[in-house]
Amino acid sequence: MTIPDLVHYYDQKLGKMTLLKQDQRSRVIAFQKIPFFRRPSLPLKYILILPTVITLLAVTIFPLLFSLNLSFHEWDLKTPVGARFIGLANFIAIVNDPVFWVSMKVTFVFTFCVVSLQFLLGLGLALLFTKEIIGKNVWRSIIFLPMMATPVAVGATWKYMFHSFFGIINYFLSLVNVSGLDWLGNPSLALFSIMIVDTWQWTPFMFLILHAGLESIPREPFEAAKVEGASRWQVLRYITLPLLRHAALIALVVRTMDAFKVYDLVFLLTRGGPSYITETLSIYTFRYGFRFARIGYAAALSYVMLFIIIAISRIYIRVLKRAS
Amino acid sequence: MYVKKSGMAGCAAVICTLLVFGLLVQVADAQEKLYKGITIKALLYAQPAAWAVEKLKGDWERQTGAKVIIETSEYGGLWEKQLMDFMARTGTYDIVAFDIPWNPIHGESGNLLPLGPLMERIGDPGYDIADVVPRVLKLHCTWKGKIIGLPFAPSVNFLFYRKDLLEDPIEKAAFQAKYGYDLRVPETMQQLWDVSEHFTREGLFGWADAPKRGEHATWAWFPFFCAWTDESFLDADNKVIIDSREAVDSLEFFVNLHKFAPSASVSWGHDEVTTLIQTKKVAVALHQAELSSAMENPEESEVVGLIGYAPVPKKKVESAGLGGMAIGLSAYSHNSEAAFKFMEWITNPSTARRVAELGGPPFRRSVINDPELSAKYPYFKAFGAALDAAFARPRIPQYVELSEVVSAAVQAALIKEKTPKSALEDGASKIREMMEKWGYPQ
Repeated sequence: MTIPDLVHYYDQKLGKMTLLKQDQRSRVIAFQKIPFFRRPSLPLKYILILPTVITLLAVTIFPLLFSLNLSFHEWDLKTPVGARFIGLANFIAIVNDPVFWVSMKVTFVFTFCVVSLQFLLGLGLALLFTKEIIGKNVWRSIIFLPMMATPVAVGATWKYMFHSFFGIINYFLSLVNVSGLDWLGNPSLALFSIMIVDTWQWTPFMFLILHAGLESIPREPFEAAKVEGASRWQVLRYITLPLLRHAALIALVVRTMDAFKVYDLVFLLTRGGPSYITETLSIYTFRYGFRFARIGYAAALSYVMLFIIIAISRIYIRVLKRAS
Repeated sequence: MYVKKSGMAGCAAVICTLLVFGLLVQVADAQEKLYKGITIKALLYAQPAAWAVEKLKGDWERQTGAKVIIETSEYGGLWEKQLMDFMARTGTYDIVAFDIPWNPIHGESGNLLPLGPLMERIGDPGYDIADVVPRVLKLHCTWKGKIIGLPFAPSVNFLFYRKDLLEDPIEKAAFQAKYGYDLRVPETMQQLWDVSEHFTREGLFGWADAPKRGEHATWAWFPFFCAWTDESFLDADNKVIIDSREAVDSLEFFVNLHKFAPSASVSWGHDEVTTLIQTKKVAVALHQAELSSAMENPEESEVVGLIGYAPVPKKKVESAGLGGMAIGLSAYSHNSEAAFKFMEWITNPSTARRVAELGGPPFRRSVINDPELSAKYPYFKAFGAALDAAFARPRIPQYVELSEVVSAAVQAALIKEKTPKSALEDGASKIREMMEKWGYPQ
């Protein structure tokens, strides 16, 4: 570089004279000709997204990493002994605990049943709403109402409704000469009762997604099918359902993940009882974390749940990609 | 001139007197309102004693200038809230109520401040700790020789029975004809069986209790276990004995007794049993002694004056489970002194009497033996005797985990998932494994 290539330039940002190359000086001058409010201010961009990044790190990333670390430790808060590194011992203990497998079975049965039922009911409602119904908007709003209620309020209300003596459900059953059922204490009915409540609350969610999916399907295939003389069943099977596949899969993925993690309804209605009949994985994890205060073991259980949910989601996504 | 001077002197004297008086009042006020500006938060179990304190706390607030916030919670939430507060060490709660099985946990972990130094330094000389039932003080409030809590709402299992049914001449005659002896308040397990069986009919159940999943199931079976074995779940050497022959017999009796109870009761807590008794649907129930006030409340109960109270019947021994709540001072409290004085105030002889008057269970001899209160709450006498003889659940820090296994075994037997023998054998095996891991050789 020869001396004539370097020029002095007063850099306003640095607040002093700076040696710049000719081409750099041209760029600086060109930059300074841009009105200040149009200048791309690189540090400001980062400053503006910093609160979001900090919140994300604090609320999501840090707890994830902390609990992952915790899962490799034994830490019983009931005793003054602190955290102790034990490697994979928590995960091995989980696999060897028969109650864990019972809760896995309960969770899978619950998830499969409620998601299937909610999908069928939601699809039925969505198909119904493709017709012209008097007061369609009003009915739609009513259908969405259960989804708006908080699960705690739903659980508490249904617990009273299920009461074997004073509950309204048994009252109506008594009018048709059906004697009072023990909804929450009978081992044959307890899990089914929770499924009823979950279906009542989350079928509207399925309906919402599937209804939106149906509304977005183009009309031309249906018109062509009508012209070709296809029956209603053929239209449903060969046109409606295939075109609805994306929306259906999204609804199924979301509901499966939610149903797998069900906690509030079970806690309020049965607390996992009677015996372990309704002991879902979430209740099992809660018991270890908040009743027994064994937070290392509870963290390991949380990660086992996370891996299972990731695996299920990946299966759904693979099916979705194949459908695409 | 003289008059003017003496008039001015008189005015000056009056003004000075007023100033001095005002100053004295200020000083007195400042001395009384020692805790002005301080807010104390107490986490208590949602039961009559807590509601009584809520009503009475204003007196202490006016005396001291402090503000007291009472937060109540149901049983499960009570443990979780205090656990989370202690884990985080935020000192959100200055005072917490703790069940007797949590005593070892808090004692070992140091979550509760030992009260000895505070009692020595600023304790009320009129507190009269000797008046407290000794067993309550020892098992509820003390851990390894240190006082970590003050008694608040002790509890025992009790029989609640319908006096009107047991004293009815027609029922007496029918019972005598069927069982060959006079109908009476059950004193033995056999009598309990007979009475429960006799009163099980359309519209009435012979028996009710609250064996829902969790500590409730353990607590419901516990007095039966103790009556049969004369022990707690762990013997004196901390060896597990829940699968002994007597223990199995006690669970078999307990399970079979439930054929006289509503089938739904397997998922019931205390609230459901209270409602069942109040609505005249059960003849005999195992219930919490301190909930008798709900029976005598004319606004919600149909059995006012109709309920009698008796200890749990005898098998090998008379038994009852000792439970209930003590109150402790959080080690993370920012207002330890004020909180301690509030704890002391609500459990001192005069306030304890007022709490008992409003339905809280008594823990002082002076209150238990008070003739006026005994007339109002007929269960006091039997309650006092039961407190002296009741069995404590195992006092180990890991009790909640042990109880979970016992509860699962009891529930498995109740819903006929397992026989009582296999349920207890499986449970005992698991608990032994856990006890070995916790350092209690089996």
